[in-house]
Amino acid sequence: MQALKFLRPGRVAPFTKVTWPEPGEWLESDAPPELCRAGVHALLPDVLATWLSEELWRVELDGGEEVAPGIVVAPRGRLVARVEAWNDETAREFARACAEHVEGSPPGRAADCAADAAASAEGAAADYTATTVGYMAAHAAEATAPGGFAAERAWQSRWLAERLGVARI
Amino acid sequence: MRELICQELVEVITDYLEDRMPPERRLLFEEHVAFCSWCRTYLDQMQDTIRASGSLKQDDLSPETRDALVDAFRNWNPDGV
Repeated sequence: MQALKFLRPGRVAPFTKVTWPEPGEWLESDAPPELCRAGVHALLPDVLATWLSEELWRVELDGGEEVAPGIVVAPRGRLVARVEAWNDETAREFARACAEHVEGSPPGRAADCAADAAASAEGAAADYTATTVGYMAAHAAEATAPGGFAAERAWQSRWLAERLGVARI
Repeated sequence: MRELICQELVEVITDYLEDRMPPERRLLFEEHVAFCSWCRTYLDQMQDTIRASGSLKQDDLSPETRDALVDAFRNWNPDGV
């Protein structure tokens, strides 16, 4: 199956620190796939906003299974191609879009979170700083209405998938 | 499931590193690290420390350092404050 993967610079996995091999070469796990424990992990477009990192790649998974919403795990996977559209410029666009989406939030915590998002948007880059803005905006949405956090994250992920051209993988 | 805050992450980081955390909790942990630069740095430092100290051999320590470590453990009181 096709999926997406955010990596640190140099194709390094953000949590395990494993360096993925060159595109086309398989990365294999020596243990049966298990969420957050073992196996090659990747994303579906629905959850992109939560996991931003410096590099975004299209990946191919052999025997992948969705084990949590938007998260797929497989015994092996390989990089197909880097998504060049994900860069500092589009990251800032994303951050601005997140902040604008919660502009005009009601006074109190919602407005405070929205203001934080707006204040941080211009400094966002293609790393955790962009996802932090999305996180603040999602909190503004949650403070506005229960369930707003998840709804905002879903909107942000759709925005990213469309903008980066990875809505259909 | 509610989100993790930084203080909680610091309290459970050993469970994470020793793989003693259920998958749902690990997911929350990693979600937090994905957006929190402080916790990301903290996790990186812990992983680096474990890697570095895991490769130390007894002979790598100077006699002074070894004595200081032994003293520290000798005087350690787990029930103390």
